[in-house]
Amino acid sequence: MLTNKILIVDDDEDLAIGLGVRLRASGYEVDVASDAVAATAMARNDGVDLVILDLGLPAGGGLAVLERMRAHLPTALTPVIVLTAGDATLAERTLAAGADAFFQKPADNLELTAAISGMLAKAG
Amino acid sequence: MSAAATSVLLVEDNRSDARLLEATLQDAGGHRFRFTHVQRLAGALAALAGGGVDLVLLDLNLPDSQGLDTLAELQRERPGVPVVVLTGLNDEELAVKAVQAGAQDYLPKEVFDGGLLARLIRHAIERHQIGVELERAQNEQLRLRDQFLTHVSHELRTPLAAMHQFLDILADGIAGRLSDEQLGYVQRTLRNARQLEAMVAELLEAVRAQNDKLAVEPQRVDLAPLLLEDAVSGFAGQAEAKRIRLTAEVQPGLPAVHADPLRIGQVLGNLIDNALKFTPENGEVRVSAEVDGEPGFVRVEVTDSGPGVPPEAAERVFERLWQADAPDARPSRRGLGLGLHICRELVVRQGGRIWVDTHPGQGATFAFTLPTYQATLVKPDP
Repeated sequence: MLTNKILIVDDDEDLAIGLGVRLRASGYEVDVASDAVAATAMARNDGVDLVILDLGLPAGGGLAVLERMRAHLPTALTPVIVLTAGDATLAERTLAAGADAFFQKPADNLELTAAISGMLAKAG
Repeated sequence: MSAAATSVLLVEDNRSDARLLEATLQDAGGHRFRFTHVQRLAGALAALAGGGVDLVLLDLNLPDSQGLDTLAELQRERPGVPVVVLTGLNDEELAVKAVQAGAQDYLPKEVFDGGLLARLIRHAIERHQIGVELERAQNEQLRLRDQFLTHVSHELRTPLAAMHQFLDILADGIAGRLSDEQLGYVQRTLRNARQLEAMVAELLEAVRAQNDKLAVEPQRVDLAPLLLEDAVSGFAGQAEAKRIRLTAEVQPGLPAVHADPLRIGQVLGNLIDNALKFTPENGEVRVSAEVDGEPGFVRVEVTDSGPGVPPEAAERVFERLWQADAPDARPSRRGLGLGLHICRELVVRQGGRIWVDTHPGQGATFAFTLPTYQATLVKPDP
């Protein structure tokens, strides 16, 4: 059985590590990108099944990563969960840009993992 | 002294009064005025539609409008132009009321000193300008403060999230099994982290409340499920931990209210949370909803069996930064004291009132009213 691979995009090292530990404990393979350029490249090339995306990224910002993903065929349908310390008012814009869910930091771990497993099950 | 003439709109139905006023002012040493004269309020509104008027001289008693209503309608339809009301003998009381209602000054019609009149008009215009500047500066300051607080709360959430995540990982045993003592300390730390998170969220909400960005979207709401299922069941665990009896009672046939269900939930949550905090073990907290004595309103009450609120504090509890010690809280431990202030903002925005009935030593009842949905469907009498 193939393990699902999740790409965590966040420039905050502590958050990326913490979330990685939790996701690995739930059985996922985890990769980390800490800027917009690396994020776009890794999302495209590394067999990523789901992306958790912070918005405040160096080298372009998370929204740009999302837009580039959606404009590129291989990643157009990859589930993306936005996880940001920013305001809940950003939700509308990010969902309109193609995100599948919006979570505000600190996210409830149960809700987040439920959303992840739900999206991966749907993607098949 | 400006070179351009001051444009004055004279709203006066008595032709001779108007001519006298114009003549007096035309002679006012050195300063030039340009007059437009209308005799009805309707004419004034039309004349002001295009802008370009520096001041309005307004007789309050016109063929198509009387008294303070004249001023009120002018202000409502054409805000932003300074008004000086014209008064006759014995009208001083009315004139003062007009100034309190926003007119810059009043001008008794019997004053014939052109210089005095001209000065009065100039000062009225200057005062108006200062008011406009002040409002602009205040708005700018609020905007900057809001921007700052939003930025700060954003920055605070990141380390809070990291702390919370690793504490959760430890508590869940993902990094290895913890001893009971270790688990206890981790959970204690988690509780503090959650408290910090709540305060950051509250701070942001309070700033928004002040800047009127606290969105309230009223709709038709049935209170029974909100009270009974959501609010009360959400606190069942907390109540059980202190062996407090938590009950909810909704008057049968209670009419639907016109309110924002999310916001009522927040207000109720806040009141019940406080009630549980301040009620000692084995106490009682009762939530109820019934038709209020005032027609068109429903009243929701949260009654506790705690120490009550001292009568002098009954008003102040709703002010920002009011703090009280819960009996089982440590003396150094206080929240931000923002909860009740936000509750009042939210209730008032939905058209209700909030207050506390208190009997020191016998508990307190926090109550708020909400308009019934039916009441909002009936247009009020003109």
